[in-house]
Amino acid sequence: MSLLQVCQWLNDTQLATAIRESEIVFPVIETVHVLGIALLAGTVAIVDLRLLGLILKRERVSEVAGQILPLTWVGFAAMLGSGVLLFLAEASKSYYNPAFRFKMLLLVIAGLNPLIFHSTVYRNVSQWDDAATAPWRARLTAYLSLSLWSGIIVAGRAIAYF
Amino acid sequence: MSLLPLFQWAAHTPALAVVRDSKWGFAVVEMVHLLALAALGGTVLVVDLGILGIGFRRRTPGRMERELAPIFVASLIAMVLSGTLLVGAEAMKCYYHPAFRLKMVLFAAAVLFHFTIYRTALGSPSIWSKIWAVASLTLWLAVGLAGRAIGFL
Repeated sequence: MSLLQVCQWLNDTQLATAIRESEIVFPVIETVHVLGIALLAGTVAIVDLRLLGLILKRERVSEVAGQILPLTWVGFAAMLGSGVLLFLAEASKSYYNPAFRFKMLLLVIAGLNPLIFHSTVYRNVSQWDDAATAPWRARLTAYLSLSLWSGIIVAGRAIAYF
Repeated sequence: MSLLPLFQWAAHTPALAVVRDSKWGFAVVEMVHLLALAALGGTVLVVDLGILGIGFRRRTPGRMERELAPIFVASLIAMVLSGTLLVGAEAMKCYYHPAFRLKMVLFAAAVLFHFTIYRTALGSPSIWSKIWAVASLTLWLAVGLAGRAIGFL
């Protein structure tokens, strides 16, 4: 079964049809998705800006990251849950939507970015935890993260225009 | 004094033709509005949840708020500027739209609250600081909900 067929099958499930045909369910899920941005991207940005030495300079990087991460995960769960439901309702349309495809690509890269960060430069965080500005590889991760998440928000908004 | 003439002017001025008549002009401003929402909402959530003892609670909320204030103010300015353009593009729709009117009232209340009563929540922790944190979360959430409702009501 091709990816397109999977999308078409999802599109025709009862759940997807119910979301699509309801006048209130789709906008409500959309609203959750939009407000979840603040929790997910907003908290990610705070950690990124700390790495860049722009805010919370006197706090340890590991403390900022450790205390904010649970909020980020809650935001992630809200975004993923609402995002999957929105996708289901428009699965066939989404398959052909260039903005949707681009957004999925950016999401994959945005997921790999912290994986690489945590398994490399963040392992030695104790050596630069108190430094106002993190090492260049950590700063690169932060710039990438800010760009990727901004790109995801922009691409997400653009889905409606195709 | 009625604001109707101002909205009528916005609906016809050539200065706003870029957002009014161009699909992508409007889309770009919408994207800026959303990006600023992430930053503004993020700072509000982190500070308010910190006051409630969730998430960032190692430092006093007051210090946290001072550190994040530049992001809050910058994103607030970005939201107002992009928001003004969005209203300019749909001036007459907005003027008569109940969700838009509600949003403006809630937004004024949220900003006023943020720079007055809310300050007292940033001092020593008490039951009142928690009440104000919940009030702040509720107000900003309501602004967001009313804003989203403009799109589909």
